[in-house]
Amino acid sequence: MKVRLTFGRQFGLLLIVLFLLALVPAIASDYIVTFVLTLFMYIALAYSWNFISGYTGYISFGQIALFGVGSYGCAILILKCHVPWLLAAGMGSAIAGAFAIPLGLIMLRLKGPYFAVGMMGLFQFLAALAATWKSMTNGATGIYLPPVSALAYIYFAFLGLALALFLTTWKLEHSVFGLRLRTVKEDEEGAESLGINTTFYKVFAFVVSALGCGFAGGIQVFYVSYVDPSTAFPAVLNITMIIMSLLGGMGTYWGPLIGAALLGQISEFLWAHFPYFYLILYGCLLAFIIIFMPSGIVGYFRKRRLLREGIGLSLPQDPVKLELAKEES
Amino acid sequence: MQGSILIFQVLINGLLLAGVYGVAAIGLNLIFGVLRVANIAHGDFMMVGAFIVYSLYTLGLSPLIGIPVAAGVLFILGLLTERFLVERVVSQPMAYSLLLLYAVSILLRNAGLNLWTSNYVSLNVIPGSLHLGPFTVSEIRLVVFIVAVGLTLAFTFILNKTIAGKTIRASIQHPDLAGACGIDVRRVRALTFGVGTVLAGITGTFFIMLFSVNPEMGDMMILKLFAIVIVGGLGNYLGTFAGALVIAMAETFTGFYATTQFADVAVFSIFLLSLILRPQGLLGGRRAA
Repeated sequence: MKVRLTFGRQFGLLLIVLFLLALVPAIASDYIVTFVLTLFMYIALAYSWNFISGYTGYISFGQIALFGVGSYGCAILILKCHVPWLLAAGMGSAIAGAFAIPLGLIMLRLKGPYFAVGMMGLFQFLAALAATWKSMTNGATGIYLPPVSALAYIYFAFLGLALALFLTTWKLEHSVFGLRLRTVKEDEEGAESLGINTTFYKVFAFVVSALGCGFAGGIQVFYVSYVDPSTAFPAVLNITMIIMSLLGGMGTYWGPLIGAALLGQISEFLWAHFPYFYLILYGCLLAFIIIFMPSGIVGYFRKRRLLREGIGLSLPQDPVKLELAKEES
Repeated sequence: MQGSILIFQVLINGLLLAGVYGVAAIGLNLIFGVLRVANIAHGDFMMVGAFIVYSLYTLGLSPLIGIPVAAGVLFILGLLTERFLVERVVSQPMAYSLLLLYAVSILLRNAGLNLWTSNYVSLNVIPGSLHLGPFTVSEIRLVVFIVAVGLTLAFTFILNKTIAGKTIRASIQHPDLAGACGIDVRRVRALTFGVGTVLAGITGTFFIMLFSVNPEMGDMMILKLFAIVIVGGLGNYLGTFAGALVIAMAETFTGFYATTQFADVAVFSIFLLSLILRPQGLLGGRRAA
């Protein structure tokens, strides 16, 4: 059976899903709400990783560092300036984004494995900084915040973030901007020679990714009402967001959503049944994905023509036509 | 006078540490040269080596038996990793092998954590120290250094003077042409990966005799090893040793004058600066970025 998702149907589907999701906090138990909001966080992080690594091909093994920057930014703003939490999360996100501009300009000069290892190093460096800079971060003791008043706020904040990142990715997929971004992955030098300012596009993707990670970090801080170096820089989450994005399909706009929703549920099961082995299983899963289905679930179905071209990995029909259409309008 | 003796002492410690780092970094450089694959899991292979020796030691076997056993196990592990995982993506873009080896790293690290817990352990095999005039050198560091330098020299000799080494170098310089000359490049790749992981594993066994380590040691090692290879220059094995010296000195000096946390900052800065300012390495070699 072929799945034909036209634009109208996709939009309608999205509205229905959103409506159903908005009902969840009102009718479901706290356990379910917690579970679903965690899924939203996974989705948001998977999309954030997808921006930089999926679209530009720069594999980052430390994107969660920006989650940490957002976390601490938000926590310090709440504690020292008494900023309302959602605004603080937004400002934490802005801090992460602003930090990402000079960082991206430096780090994105590195290619392939050096960028990957560099980001890994940055992640460790920032975690160590958070542990040592006691006057600002309170070191390993951490910062305690007033406990959260209603789970529903957190729920809607994460839902909003995941939705925003999904829509940004959707927009990216259907725009010349996204196409140019993709040229960085395909052939950076070629793109440069065609007059595309690849540095701008790379740094842009990096900053968008940082904004997403930072916002997620800010909400997470308020949710657990506590931050210390290990909750702000969670190594497990770092692995999870990468695997989720890859499982669904890296560089696709449905991929991170599918991957995060699926693996989020699987990991909930694994946590409960194999608390010590589930990261080993993650490793196996990652190896399996890379070898047998490198373009993820979306790519797998597309290859077997179960999904229409245009959804997922493929480029929007003809780049030249698209460019022309853009100029005409 | 006292100050300069202290500085010399730190210099000696840095030199001894460099010898140890050098062995693992050469393994990383070699794998990169032949397979064009950045072995993100190198630090975790080190960990496996370290903990095999540790486990055997707790069973009553001395490291003299443990190290060859660890080397053997790692050779097989490396061979299998290459043959069944890396070989499948070796002709794909770099992102594939990078993510695949990241998976191997996650796998090894968490298997390590399951088997040996996250407690720091150490083997105190030769506790004594030598007093050479005003300097103190712990015996184990000296022994390890001598073994490490011996290994490096033997390896350089093999690479430059034997047929096996020639085969490896040919595969580095021009894989297609090497294949056309009758070299089984696939086999060379598997063997090289095996040798690289053995070098990592042996370094790991040195590590557990020198410091306290836990199964997460790969995390802090991988950046250092990459920094060493980059500073030294890709494909330049003598340079790798120079790189090891730079990193080890930076680490011991910042550790001495500030804290060990600053040592990591120093390593990270050297990593970034060398990639941006001198991607071909200190002594020359292929460009890294």
